[in-house]
Amino acid sequence: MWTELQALTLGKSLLGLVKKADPKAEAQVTVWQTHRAHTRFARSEITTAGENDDLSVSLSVQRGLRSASAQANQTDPRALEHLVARTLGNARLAPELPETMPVLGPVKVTRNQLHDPAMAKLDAKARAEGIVAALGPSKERDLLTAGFLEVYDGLVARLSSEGLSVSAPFTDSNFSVTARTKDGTGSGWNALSTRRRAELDFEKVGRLAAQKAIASARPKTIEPGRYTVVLEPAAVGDLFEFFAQSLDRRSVDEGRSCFVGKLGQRVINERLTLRSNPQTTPMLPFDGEGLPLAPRTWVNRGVLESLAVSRYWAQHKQLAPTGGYDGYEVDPGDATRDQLLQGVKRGVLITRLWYTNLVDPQSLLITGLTRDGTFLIEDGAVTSPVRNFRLNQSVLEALSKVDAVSADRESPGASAWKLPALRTHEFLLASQSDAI
Amino acid sequence: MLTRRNVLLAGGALALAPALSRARGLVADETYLAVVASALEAAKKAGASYADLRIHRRREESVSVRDDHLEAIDDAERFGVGVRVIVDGAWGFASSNLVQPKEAARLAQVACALAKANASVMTKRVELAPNPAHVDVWQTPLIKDPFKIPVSDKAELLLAVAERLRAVKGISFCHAWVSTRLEWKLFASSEGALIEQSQTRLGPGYVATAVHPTSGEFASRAWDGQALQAGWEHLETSHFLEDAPRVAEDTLEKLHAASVTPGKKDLILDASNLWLTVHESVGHPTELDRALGYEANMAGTSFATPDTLGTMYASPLVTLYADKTTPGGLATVGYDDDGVRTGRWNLVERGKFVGYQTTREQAAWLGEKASRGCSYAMDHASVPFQRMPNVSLAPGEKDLSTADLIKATDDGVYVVGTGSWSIDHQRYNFQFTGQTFFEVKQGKITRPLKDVGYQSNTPAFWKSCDLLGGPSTWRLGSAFDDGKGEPMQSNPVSHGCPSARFRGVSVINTGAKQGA
Repeated sequence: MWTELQALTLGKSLLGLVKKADPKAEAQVTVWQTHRAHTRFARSEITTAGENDDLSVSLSVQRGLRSASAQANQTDPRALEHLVARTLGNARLAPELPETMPVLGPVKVTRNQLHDPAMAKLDAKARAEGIVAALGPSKERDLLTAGFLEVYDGLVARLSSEGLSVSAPFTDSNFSVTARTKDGTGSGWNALSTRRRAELDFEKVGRLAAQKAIASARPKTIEPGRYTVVLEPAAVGDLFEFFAQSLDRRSVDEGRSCFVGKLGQRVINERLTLRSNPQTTPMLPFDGEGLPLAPRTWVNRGVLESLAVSRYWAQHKQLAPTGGYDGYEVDPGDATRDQLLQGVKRGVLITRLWYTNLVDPQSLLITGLTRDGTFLIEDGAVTSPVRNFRLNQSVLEALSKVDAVSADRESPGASAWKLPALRTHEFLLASQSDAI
Repeated sequence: MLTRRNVLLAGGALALAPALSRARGLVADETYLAVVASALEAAKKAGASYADLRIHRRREESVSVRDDHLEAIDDAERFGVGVRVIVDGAWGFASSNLVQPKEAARLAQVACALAKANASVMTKRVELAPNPAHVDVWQTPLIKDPFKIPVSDKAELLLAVAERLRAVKGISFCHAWVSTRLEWKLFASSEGALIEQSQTRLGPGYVATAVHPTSGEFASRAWDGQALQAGWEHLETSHFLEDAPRVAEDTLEKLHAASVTPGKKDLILDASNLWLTVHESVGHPTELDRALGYEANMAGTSFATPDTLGTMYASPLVTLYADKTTPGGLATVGYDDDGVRTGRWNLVERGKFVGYQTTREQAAWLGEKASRGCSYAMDHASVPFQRMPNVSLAPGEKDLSTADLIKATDDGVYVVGTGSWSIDHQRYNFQFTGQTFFEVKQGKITRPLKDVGYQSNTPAFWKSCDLLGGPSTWRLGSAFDDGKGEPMQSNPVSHGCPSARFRGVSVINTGAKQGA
């Protein structure tokens, strides 16, 4: 693995080559260096495993209002000179780009701890042992398993000709298990994303997937329609992913967003607060341009408080740029998982959504399906597994009708997301799916 | 003379040189030959019963404009080597951006160590179907290399498109782009294969958006043209520029169209819409790894399990075939990433489910003697696995036009272009929208519609197909980045379709009323 100093040194030498080739050009460089290891398994056997060492160098140059960017993964002197030549060549040929912003100069970043040496040391043997531990609960119950483990050890450095110099080392991991009954009537899934080795509990992920597979077997059919639903964190993540993607000031100002005219107004239920904070959600403390990311509350008790503003749009509209975030957390509530079920006379517990896609950006209507464990709730308790559904549901409506939020949170899809479980009402399960 | 075994046994660049000279036009870069020899020799020493490697270069240049100005020019390149081995019946893989003999040997050793670690906890051994050790070269047939067209010319063309879109009063925003991709790879195996291939793909597109001045509603319409494996001549003959005013008019028409009344209707799907339905409801379900549970954790499984081979998948009118040789198809290539020569075969023949997509590892799972040639890895750092070939719907025997299909329909909706899509994890329940929609009554288009989605179940949908357009309606549609696997890999793939009619499909309203 490289050190931050090595990455910054490479970046500086590339900036030097740009200056030599074109003293008037401004430039920005990003260096990513990663070691990625993965192990994949299916039908209860390891199927593939791989390790990859890679490097990515991104160069953006601008000459006045003309700019271009390029990426490469070779660092020998000839390759770097070629990278500079083709980027500058394209910038010279480019028409003017009125949205060009000056490259960033020095910034002050509050570092956070994203690198865990123990995670970086998780070798092939330890990965295989972890997977064997995860498969134990399914083996005991004679279930078929499939899953995936991916571990990263890397660093990123961003520099510019104007003095920007930020960097961060990081580790990360994603582990997921699907367990299926051999008669094909039950399927369960669980996943965990974390940057820290101590939190990577292989056995727990495997056990929860196995429990759901058993519990979901031989589902009964209930009619499609509008239901009170309890959404586990993985399903909540799908809703907030579409929500977060819509938090763009420019789209709002241009009139093509579900949030037109909504800044400062209540857009979802007051029980929900959505924020980003590199000190509490493990995300890089600077964005793709190197802009430091401050703690930010997007939605405060249901009220839309902030929208993401790019540097260009900030200048155009005389606003402050926010930077681009990729980590979000929904504040915890005070309900236990059992309390989310209590009071539900007849509803559906949804553990995971699949193939969600935007249908109507104006109402933030999405479609998708339930998967890997869908259950009927009757009189406050789960009574039986049910067949899966297709949903057609406005994210804004679903989040507006939330009346309970769990106290516990999970990171099933990405380590930089923390999500509770929720209960909401009149959720449209539009048609039946035969998939198990 | 190259034989199946002497690459592994003899090693060394010199042993490979005669093979290179035998293949027409191969780049005989001795550095690469040394990398090949070093990896294969190290794999053998570390106990591999099989090894292969790919030296792989990907380049993607993209130019885009937003409204009346350039948005971005980007040129990304990745180069490296991936080494794959079988030791004690288990796979191992390692890759690096350093394409050097010493590094290749290290990768072979890492891959072998991984395979050994996995073999110790495995019970089923990997077995590869026999395959001739091909030595060959293949490249995209093209006239004008799109990488040699200056970015300024590309930007100029896109700005001209944007100008034509914006010239239509009521168009508020537009976005236009062209993406040019190159994949070059040298494949070599311990069995003696040595194959150099180069694929060039071109992905143009644009979208116009209109915002209603009073209601605040907005509508977008994307160009129906497609990405192809082709040179710059594709753009010169695809009406890319000429279609812009029509796309702009369609956008305004869509904004003001009547919202559809949901219900069961006959659907006439234009080839520009149906290709994506073919992709999701036929392409993915007939992937053998998915059908057997190997993708269960992410992409899902399939209703089309091997015990359903020979049963009816569709109406007897319907023949769907896989073809990695379709001219212009994004997945078209000479050899797959197992070194298997590609071809064409039926998946559904006159309605009956008859075949799967397979790799060398998978052929034996079905009791077949040879692979169908569907192995693919998106870059040097990715493990090859089963990916979709071009999967297409054969046109009807009579050369019916789309107008003929409309004329034969009493109560239906004609759908053009692709919009939103979603399908369940066993490929039964799907929902698609489109770009433009038209009400059909008594054989005529009566008015434009909006908020149209159609929802169905794969077998029921394909069994409801009762009319096919002829060869003159058949055209390719394309997915530039079809995702599958963990880690997720992107596969470019095309689907040819005629227009077709499907009876009694559930049409939903996707507007603010959230059509149930």
